[in-house]
Amino acid sequence: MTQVSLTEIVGRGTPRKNASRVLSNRVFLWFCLAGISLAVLVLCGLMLSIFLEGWSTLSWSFLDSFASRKPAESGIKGPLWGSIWVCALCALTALPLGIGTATYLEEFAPKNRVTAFINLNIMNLAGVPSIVYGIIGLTAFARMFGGFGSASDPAVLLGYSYYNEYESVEGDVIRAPVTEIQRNGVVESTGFQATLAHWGVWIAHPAPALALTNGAPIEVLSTDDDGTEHWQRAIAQLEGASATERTSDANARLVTVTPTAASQSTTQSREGRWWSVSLPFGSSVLAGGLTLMLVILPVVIISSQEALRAVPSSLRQGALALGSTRWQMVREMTLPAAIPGIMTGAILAMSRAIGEAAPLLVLGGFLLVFAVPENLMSDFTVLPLQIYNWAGRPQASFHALAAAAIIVQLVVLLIFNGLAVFIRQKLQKDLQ
Amino acid sequence: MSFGRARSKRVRLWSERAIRWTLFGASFFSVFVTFAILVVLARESFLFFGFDEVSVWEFFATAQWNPLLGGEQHFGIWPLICGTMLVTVIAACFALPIGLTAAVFLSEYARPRTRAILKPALEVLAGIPTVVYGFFALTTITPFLHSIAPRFGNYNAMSAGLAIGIMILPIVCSLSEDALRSVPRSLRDGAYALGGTKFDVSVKVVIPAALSGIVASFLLAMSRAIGETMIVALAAGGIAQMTAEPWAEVQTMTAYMVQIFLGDAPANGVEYASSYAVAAVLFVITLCFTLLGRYILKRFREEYE
Repeated sequence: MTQVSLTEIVGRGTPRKNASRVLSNRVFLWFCLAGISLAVLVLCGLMLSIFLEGWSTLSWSFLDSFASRKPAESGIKGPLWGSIWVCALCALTALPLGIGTATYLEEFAPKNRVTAFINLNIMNLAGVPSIVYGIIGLTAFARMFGGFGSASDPAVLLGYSYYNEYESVEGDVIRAPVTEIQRNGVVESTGFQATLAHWGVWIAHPAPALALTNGAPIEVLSTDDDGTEHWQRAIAQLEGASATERTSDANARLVTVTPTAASQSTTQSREGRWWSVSLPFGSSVLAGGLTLMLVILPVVIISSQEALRAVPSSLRQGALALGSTRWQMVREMTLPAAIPGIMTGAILAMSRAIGEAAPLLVLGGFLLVFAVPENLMSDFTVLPLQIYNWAGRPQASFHALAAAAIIVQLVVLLIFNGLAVFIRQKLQKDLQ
Repeated sequence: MSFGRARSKRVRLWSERAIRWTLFGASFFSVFVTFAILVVLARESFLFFGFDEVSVWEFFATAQWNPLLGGEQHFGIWPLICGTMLVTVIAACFALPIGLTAAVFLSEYARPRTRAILKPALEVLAGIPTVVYGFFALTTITPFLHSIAPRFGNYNAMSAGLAIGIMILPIVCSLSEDALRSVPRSLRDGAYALGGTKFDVSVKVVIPAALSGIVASFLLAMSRAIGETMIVALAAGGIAQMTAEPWAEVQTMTAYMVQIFLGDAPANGVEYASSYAVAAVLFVITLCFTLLGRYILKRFREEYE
């Protein structure tokens, strides 16, 4: 390394009189102060202008109504819940992966070329623009390289139930679960795909229409007093057939169906649970969460590594000297000591995830969402995307909406940052 | 200290191994991500160059970008690179001097209490979503520029560049300050002993000693500016052209990708595939900046003590 002598550095300029040097020092200080006050002023001005523009729009109904083409009725319920879903999924995947990676690299990995390569690789990943991650997410998660068909017609469905729908004599919609796979017109009740279908994994499409039999267990769409619809268990009673024996379900309602209606299903529907997944993921909350996971993973890893590095090695040596294994040492000593630092880094990484718009824009474009996401495959939009959409419109009323959404976003961010500062100050023990 | 129930050595050995391999798997995932990025970008760019409308030569050696016109399409990447560079240079001209000055102030001049206020404020500033800066650019900076000089239109490179400059300011400031503070105290003391003022010491001793870290922070900030998407998508406009005029409407590489993925370009068309090639170029450029920064940090670091 270069050795630089002090006299050489200080003596580089031409010798000047003391007065001019003192003056330049003072001028520089004033320049700094002026620059910083200007920056603070500009920042305060911008914040103030946003608050003034958005404050009047901010109300409970703004938080609790969906987006609309009329600015006065618009709200951020959809993007708010979308952000919550996506960030929760992102945290659930990125934090274990990132902390695990950091733990391996700091506590287990031998000092060899593979480890150095992984470290270099993480540094490079941290510099990749987030929009590139969006493209990777689109190709790998939303489309799965085109290997599983399209998002509207997924090739594999996990945890879904298929139903044939019929119409009853009273005009109610009824449905019966489909359990069998049909291939070339022949119903398969055995075989690999049929077995999978039994467990809710559909690789081929099930038999489109089967006739309802007398006494078959069905569900009927009924309306509650408060107007919500739900499926109620019932038993099919074919018109003209003898009364069905109520063997299994004594309280179930009997629904009468004409033989013609029973022989043909009107439509086929599928219903998922909250954890149901289809391959490819499409532009769903799951794909969004995983894409954001890619974006923040390097950040989580690097901050966790720094937190682990700050743990004094005397703690490790103490644990090892008492005969613990590496993992016992990590579990009992290193991780607990590093957890405040890791959590601070994780919270800052999550606040980055909340603000990311570009990768999700690439993933699914912008949608006006009129429902809260229900399961992993729901469509979604997030707050920054909604802000982008409103800010990009020419009308001033939409700009006010954008400003109000920005206020919400900034409040969430301030809470996150405050949490990080709090954790850093309260939980950080002095380990030296 | 107790480590739970005593178990047989063999069980412990195996669970130890299982945990080790699980954690190794987690860390290998990041290598897999890099691999996936390379494969996806290479494969899709390869498909793009397979179209009749475009050749590798045209893409890298011509300067006309006209992907969406039905009639004659042109795919010469240089207007997009030019737009990106124009915006980045404006951002750099704004953020690098101010960021470095602020860093010198924070590390050399500021009292601990001032630092204790300004440092967290910088962190908060760094956490503001870029779409918010885009909104600033569109609703505040652009009208302001227009009021100064009417030739600044609704969309211009200057406004987006300034907003990006504000965005990367905390990065420059915070990283440069880290570099300045890691210069050992003895160097400063020596320079003061020779009769230097604070300004002399900062400019002639501390900054040269921390130069590698400062340059690395500049490069990192520039690569952020190049990859920035939402600000340019909102404020820079949508005309891909070779220009160095700050009041002109430009399109950057990232803004083009947004245009494609937001619009209704058919998923199998050449316009759609072109965004992957643009993403590949963007990836290579930012990777070069990152690697260069790392190299400078490693190669030119002045080591004391």
